[in-house]
Amino acid sequence: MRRPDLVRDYAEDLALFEDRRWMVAAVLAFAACVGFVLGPAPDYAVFVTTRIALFVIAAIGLNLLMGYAGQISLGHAAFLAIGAYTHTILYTKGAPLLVGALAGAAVAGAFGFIVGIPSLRLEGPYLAISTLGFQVAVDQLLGRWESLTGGRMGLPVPAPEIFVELSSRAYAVLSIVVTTLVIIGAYNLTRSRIGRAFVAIRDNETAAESMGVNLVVYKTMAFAISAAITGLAGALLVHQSDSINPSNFTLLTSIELLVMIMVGGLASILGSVLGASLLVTLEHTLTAFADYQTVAIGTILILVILFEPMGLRGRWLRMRLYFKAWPF
Amino acid sequence: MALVDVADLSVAFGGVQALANVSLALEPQQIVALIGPNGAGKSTLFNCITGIYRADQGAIRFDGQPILGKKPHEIARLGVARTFQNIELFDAMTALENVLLGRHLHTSTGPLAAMGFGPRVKREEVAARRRVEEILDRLDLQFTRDVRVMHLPYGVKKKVELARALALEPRLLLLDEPSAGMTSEEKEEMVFVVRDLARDLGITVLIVEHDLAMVRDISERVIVLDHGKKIADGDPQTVTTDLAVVRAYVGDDA
Amino acid sequence: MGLLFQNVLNGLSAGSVYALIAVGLVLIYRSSGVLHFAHGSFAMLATFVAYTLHQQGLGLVPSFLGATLVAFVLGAGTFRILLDRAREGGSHAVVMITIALFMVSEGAAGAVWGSDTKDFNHYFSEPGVVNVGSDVYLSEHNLWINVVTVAIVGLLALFFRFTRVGVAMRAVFDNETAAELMGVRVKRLHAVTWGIASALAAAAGLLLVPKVFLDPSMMFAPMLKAFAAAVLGGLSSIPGAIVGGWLLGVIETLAGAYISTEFQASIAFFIIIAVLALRPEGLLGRRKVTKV
Repeated sequence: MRRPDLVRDYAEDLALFEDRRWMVAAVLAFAACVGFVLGPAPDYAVFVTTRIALFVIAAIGLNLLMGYAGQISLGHAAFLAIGAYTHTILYTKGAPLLVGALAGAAVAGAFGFIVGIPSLRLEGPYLAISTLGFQVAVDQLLGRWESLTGGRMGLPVPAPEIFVELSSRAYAVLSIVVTTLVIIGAYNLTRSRIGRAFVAIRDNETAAESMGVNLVVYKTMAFAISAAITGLAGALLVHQSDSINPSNFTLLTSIELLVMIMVGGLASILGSVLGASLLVTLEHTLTAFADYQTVAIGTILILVILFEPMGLRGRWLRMRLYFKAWPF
Repeated sequence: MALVDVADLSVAFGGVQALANVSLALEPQQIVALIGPNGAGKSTLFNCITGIYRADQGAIRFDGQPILGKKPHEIARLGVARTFQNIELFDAMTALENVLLGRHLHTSTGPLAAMGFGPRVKREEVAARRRVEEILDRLDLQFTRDVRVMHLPYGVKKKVELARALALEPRLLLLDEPSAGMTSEEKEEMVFVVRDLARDLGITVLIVEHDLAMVRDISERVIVLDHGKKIADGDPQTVTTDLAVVRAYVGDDA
Repeated sequence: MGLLFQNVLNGLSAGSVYALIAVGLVLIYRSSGVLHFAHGSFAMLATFVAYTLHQQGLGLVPSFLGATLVAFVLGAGTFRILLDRAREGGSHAVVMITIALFMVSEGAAGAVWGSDTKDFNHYFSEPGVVNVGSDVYLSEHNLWINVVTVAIVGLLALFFRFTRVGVAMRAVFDNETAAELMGVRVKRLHAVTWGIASALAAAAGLLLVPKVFLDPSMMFAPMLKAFAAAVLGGLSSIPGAIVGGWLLGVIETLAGAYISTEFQASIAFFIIIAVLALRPEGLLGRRKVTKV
């Protein structure tokens, strides 16, 4: 993080924005998004914007776990699913929308905690397999437990309503607001002692332990927080259509989330935003090339890993340096 | 009463007896050097005291409390901090963030409060920051503050590790070869820093060191390990000229 | 009794395929520390190649050999071109590269050959049955699967014991640095290991294809099962992978016969979770000790 040349006290260092210009830029970006969906955007663009906002939340959830705490998960679509189903079931029974969504996040978080327990004993590759197993197990369970989940047919989703029924534009605004809150919350988390403990575990477990970081608490916490945030995204995603079924949350979705954070940049909130935006946009604009989509995404991922390991965020940082030094 | 009391400690890895019935006691505010040839069991002893290895038999008491079988973070909470032989820093973090990790146990913000980052959290962060800046000042590390530690030279990394351990405000500080890779000037400086710190903060220090001159400068007492056994324990002058010690270092032919 | 024996025999036949894939996974994991999520996809690509060659009028045996060769080159090339570089980026990068390869392979197969299913029956799939005991039968296809698997496992054992390359490979598995210091060309050996593993996967795909259909996702389920088998055997043990494959096949078949067929599909994942929770080093693996 760049610091102003003269820091008068440490509290100044802790301001949300290192510079007033960034604050203005952030407020403008927020206003532009809201203005776009309320104003000139065609219906499809509203749909895509909402989707981007919600996938930004999910990507941030995964990035907290994988980028910051260094624990791999190939099963994050399962947390999307748990959030989505919990919310849908409660919402259908009459719970208010935001209550249902928070409940979805909470239940997903509880599952995240459980999935995190093996991470205490398993290292990378084994954790990849166990989270993959979780992904497939949840998929099977959702498909079979028909009394609760409607099986492969899925569940109908009532229209979104907070006191009044929300239009797709109003729902887009709601999504953007929630996403903004998640971005701020996640950023705050990463610069707190909790975020430092996550990175410490990622970089050096032994040293982290020796400095008093309780691995059991912090690893399971990373899983739980990550899963809860992703679950929240899942809960809000259901209102993008009038029904959900297990095929919305497959291994491929998990992989897409991974691609978002790898392409955007690991251990970066900004990277999660960029990666999710890019991938969702590609997916919904290149529909004519649907057959080649997986090939394209896979190829992008390979190129990013080999040539730009820090992702879009790395590109961005370098561009910033370039402009700072301009015209030299 | 002794701050640290190691009784009859034994550890074996496969067929290798890393520690064999080692007993020792450290009085409060003492600086004790631990010496011995490579493979003598010095780091193993550190790892046992800090809970990274589990001893096969024996007991370790810290301030009267048995700590054998406790996890590393629990032992850290009692006031034990350490550095490592092969530098175990958080490579992608800046030096400042590394040392802030040392304040982990002195801060208490939970995840939800952290997401809100309200005034109370901010106050706690500022307090931690102030403490850390003092330590960085004291060790002349201000210039490293915003540098990712992976980009720092070896000797500076060693100092950052020391700073991180100090930030924990330990009662017992375990230093594993703190002067490795340093020039003789830097070593001298290290001697002063450690002596000052131990005196000012009332810390007990156990230090693994190969440089016998530095051992004589820094410590009030020297313990010698060889092949996992304690072969000498006493004041620096006597021990470092002791025949058995010289033999352990130079070999049996001496 | 006869029924039980019949089920065990069927389970072993299914398990043979898992074992062949799992052995490849373990070989790759032990040599280069990579968990190869595109391993099954490579098998699928090789099977498509054999299908195409056969369609072009080539005999079955030359088609199979051609496909196996393609798989070998694909595996070795993947290591040389991609993994060797990606390994510098850390464990996340490595896992993600193989996942990207999985996507590219499945997507490319769909684009080239279409996503519709095809029949690829060959003489392993003769409909005949062999009477093995009083009431116990083995289909000729399963007989082929088992015979070929046992033959391949036997050859592999001989290869590791008696050939220079095999012995060098074992040295690399045990201690890469030491092997390198002894003059072993480690990278080349990794590439060969990847090649052999992929060739084994090709064999598994070719043996399996008459039972399923030929399509881009044909190896997805068997691949996950092979992961379960490898974990069951300890992920780093080759005999463990073989035993794990057969064990999984038998457990699965018995679960299908005596509990429910629905359970049969998901049992592999319960095994993964149970093994990782209770005994992460697997049945035949060794626990690793890290040094500070």
